[in-house]
Amino acid sequence: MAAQATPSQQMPSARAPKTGRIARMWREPNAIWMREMRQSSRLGRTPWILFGLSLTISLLMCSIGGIAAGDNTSPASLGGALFQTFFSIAAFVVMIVGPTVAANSIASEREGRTWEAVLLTGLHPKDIARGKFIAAYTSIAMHIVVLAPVGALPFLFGGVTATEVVVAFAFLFVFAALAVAFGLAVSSLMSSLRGAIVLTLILAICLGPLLYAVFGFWGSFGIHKLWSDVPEGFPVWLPLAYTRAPLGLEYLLLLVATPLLLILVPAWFLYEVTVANLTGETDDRSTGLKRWFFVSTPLVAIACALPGVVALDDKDRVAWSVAGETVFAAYAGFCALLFAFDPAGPTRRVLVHWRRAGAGVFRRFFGPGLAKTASLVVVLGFLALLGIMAIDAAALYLQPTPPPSTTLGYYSLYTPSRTDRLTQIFVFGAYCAPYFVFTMGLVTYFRSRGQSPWIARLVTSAVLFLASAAPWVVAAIGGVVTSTHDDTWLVVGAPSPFYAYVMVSRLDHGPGDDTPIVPVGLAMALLWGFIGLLLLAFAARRSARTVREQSLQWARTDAALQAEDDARAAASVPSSGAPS
Amino acid sequence: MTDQAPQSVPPSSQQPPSVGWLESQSVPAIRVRHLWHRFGRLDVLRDVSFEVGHGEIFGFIGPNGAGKTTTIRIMATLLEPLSGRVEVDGFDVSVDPEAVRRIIGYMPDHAGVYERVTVREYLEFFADAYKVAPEGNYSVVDAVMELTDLTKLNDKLVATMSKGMKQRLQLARTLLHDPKVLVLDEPASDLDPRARIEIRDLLVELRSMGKTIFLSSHILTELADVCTSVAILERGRLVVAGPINDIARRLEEAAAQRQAQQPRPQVQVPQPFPQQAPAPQATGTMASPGAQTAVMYGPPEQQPAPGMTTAVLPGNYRQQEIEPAPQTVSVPRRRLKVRAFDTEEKVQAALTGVPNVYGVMHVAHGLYLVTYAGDDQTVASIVKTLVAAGVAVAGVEPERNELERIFLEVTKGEVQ
Repeated sequence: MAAQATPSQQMPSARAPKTGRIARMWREPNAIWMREMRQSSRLGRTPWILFGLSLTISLLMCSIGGIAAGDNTSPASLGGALFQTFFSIAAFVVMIVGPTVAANSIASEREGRTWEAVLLTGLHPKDIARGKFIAAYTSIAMHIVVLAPVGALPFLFGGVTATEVVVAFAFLFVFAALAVAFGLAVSSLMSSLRGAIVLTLILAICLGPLLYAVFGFWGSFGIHKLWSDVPEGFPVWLPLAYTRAPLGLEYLLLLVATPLLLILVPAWFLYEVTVANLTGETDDRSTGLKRWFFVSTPLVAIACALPGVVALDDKDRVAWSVAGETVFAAYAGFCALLFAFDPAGPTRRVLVHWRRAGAGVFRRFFGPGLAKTASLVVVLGFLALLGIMAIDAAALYLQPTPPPSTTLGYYSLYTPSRTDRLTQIFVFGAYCAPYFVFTMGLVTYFRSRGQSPWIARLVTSAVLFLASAAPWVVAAIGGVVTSTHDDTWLVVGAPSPFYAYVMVSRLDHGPGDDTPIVPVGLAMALLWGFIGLLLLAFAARRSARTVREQSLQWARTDAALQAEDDARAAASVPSSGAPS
Repeated sequence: MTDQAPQSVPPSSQQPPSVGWLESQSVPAIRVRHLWHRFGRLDVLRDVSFEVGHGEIFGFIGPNGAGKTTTIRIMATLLEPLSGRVEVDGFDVSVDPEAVRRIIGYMPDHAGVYERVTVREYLEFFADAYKVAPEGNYSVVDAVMELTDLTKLNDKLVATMSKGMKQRLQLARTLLHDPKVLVLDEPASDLDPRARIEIRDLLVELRSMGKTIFLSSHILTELADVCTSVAILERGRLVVAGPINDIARRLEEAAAQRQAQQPRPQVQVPQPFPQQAPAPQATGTMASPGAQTAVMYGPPEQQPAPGMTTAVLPGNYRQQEIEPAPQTVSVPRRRLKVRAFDTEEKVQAALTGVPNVYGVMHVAHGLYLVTYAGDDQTVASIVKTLVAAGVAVAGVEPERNELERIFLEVTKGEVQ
């Protein structure tokens, strides 16, 4: 065996002096990142993958260029087409490859049984998450850099400016960051590498085209309506809009504030989810996500209210307001299920750390605790929904009253009045808000009964699905059996959240028969809200009892151990005092 | 290295309120108190309590599924106990995991390593992670590599290393932050004999540097050579814990009490050789693989503890019962392997009439099994008698090492 050298004899004792953050990062780069880079550098297949990718895309671009040149297309049109093609393909590459590369990182450590060694070094989960992120991002960034010469081709043909190409590349890097963060969040949840990659791929393949269609194609039509210089039907419109749209309030709102919001809110969320998943169950996993919710919810609400404000006419305002409230309701429902992970109360470790740090009310409120979390989510979500409703209603109310419509509506001769429009916005929000309270109450109730977070989420989702679908099945069967052609059976659908759209539609088409569609809907909403509050009250009571029992158990254990220590000390006194 | 190594001092911000640094020197290195844990509906740990003193090599023994790894994972802050408390150097693992992680070096069972890095890069990564290499000063890596004899493998890729070398690398990793307590879960599992010996030697060396070593293993002989104390776990319950000699003494006392409460054993009259014994399973004891026959001493109802009563002998054997000297207290019988280069008759003759000696069995050429009752004093007197009788004694050792004997005596072979 080797000589008797001890680590402590040669170990420099102190940590590096605390200077600037960037200087420290430069001197002591993230250990995880450095190690991952060293490992990647020895992976023989990486250069081949990069070479294959750039070659494939180059050939594709050349093929498109060749085909277009044969049709006597102008160089500018060709440049525009190549720009759209290249960045669409690059976006897909980033959306698929980015999450997959990232999904590999944490799950592979768990599967390879190296994870515990890393955890025990004392590295904070935030440092681990950052290291993993930078490593995966470096890898995907290499793909983008390799593609850069091909991406510059459209600029040579014309049709797009150099700035537009640069902005497009900048957005590609941003999408890559989001894609990597997404993959990392999934990876942090999984213990199996294959599971992580498969789940990430499935989600990426489903979400990628959806986002491309919604924000790309669909968004281009809306933007073209607002700014005619931005071409219609071209999915990669955002880089073009920056140079072609006139500077103004709308420019700032739609091209600065909204993209920032759409990037920062999910990025922050994915980061907090990753950190929470890497943090031990008995640590504080709640604070980060609750802070994110607290800050993001008002911003998301404003973003959802915004289209209703900037819409061009009353009809569009209502449509955008309903769409905004729908998006926010989906966000709030997602958050309700998300926060099912919170335990009944803080663990002993968290309590001790709070006591030592002299944590105040604010910090404790944002810490673990099912009842606190539920109240935060319910209050903020409810207020935000009301806020969207109020903003859009106010925007509609403040508009000059349009002249009476002389054109016929597509479906009916009825043209809703300003009051009808306001009522539409109100009834939709009035249904969504209580239903959200019910959702939160349900998931909190199941969680408070000691169910695991995933079971609570699953059961809640099943109940919500039944509540959404079953009434319509009953209504359909009832309508067929009784052979009624009016709206009588529609009211049976009142328990379903989709009934909110029926109420809006009824107000849009004017009073038909005497079926009380809107009053029944509002009554049902009240009932949902009431049930939700009851469930929340039950959950809060149960959580409080659990926390009390836990505290009592800790106190009993402490007392028993203390008594044992005292007895031991008492027994050792005579012997230690005895002459030797 | 000593316990007072400066880098082991917990930073003031992390100190638990109840235990100060000076006070922590008087507390055990590891203290497990009324530990319970449950997986689903299965209680994997039930009221487990024991203590490990500073500078000890503590063996943690138990069959598969006994709860060893669960205890170790709780100790290493990787698992939260259902109830009870575990303290490492005075720090509660549930409350101060960060402080505990600075104190312990944990090597899990079948842990993985990063394959596509060199030995040095691997250790440098962990040195960075432990923050013991400020501004790229990796002298600590050099020191640990020297200690674990890895210096010559500096630039070797981890993927190309043998299992034993990887295990050694893991051990080196656990030493980087100079932990006071090493927690090693089956460190020698899957290793070849040479690697086992090397790991064992390294553990002894680390103990001499003042480290406390908590070691779990299935290989009792491996533990018996290095451990100062042991704890035996079975079905989640602690069966026995303490220094090996103390446990042996207590077991003997307990066995003696049991025997004292029973009728005094009949001393057998010498019988012609060989004596065919009942099959091992009939006595409820375990037989070694390859055993052909077993020999029982005394009537079945007076058997001492399992493992001590049944001798399983290979091949041809002969046994001579010896009339023992009168005794006042019954004590369990043991066997002693005596290697002597003399005739069987001479050995028999030498030991006839020696107090507490019950029989001599010729096992193979120059190898005898002497059945006796008593402690090391009796062994000394047997050796003395043989030497005095002119028998050329080449060596003496217990038939079964102390730890194996204890383990067989206190466990029932139950798993959960």
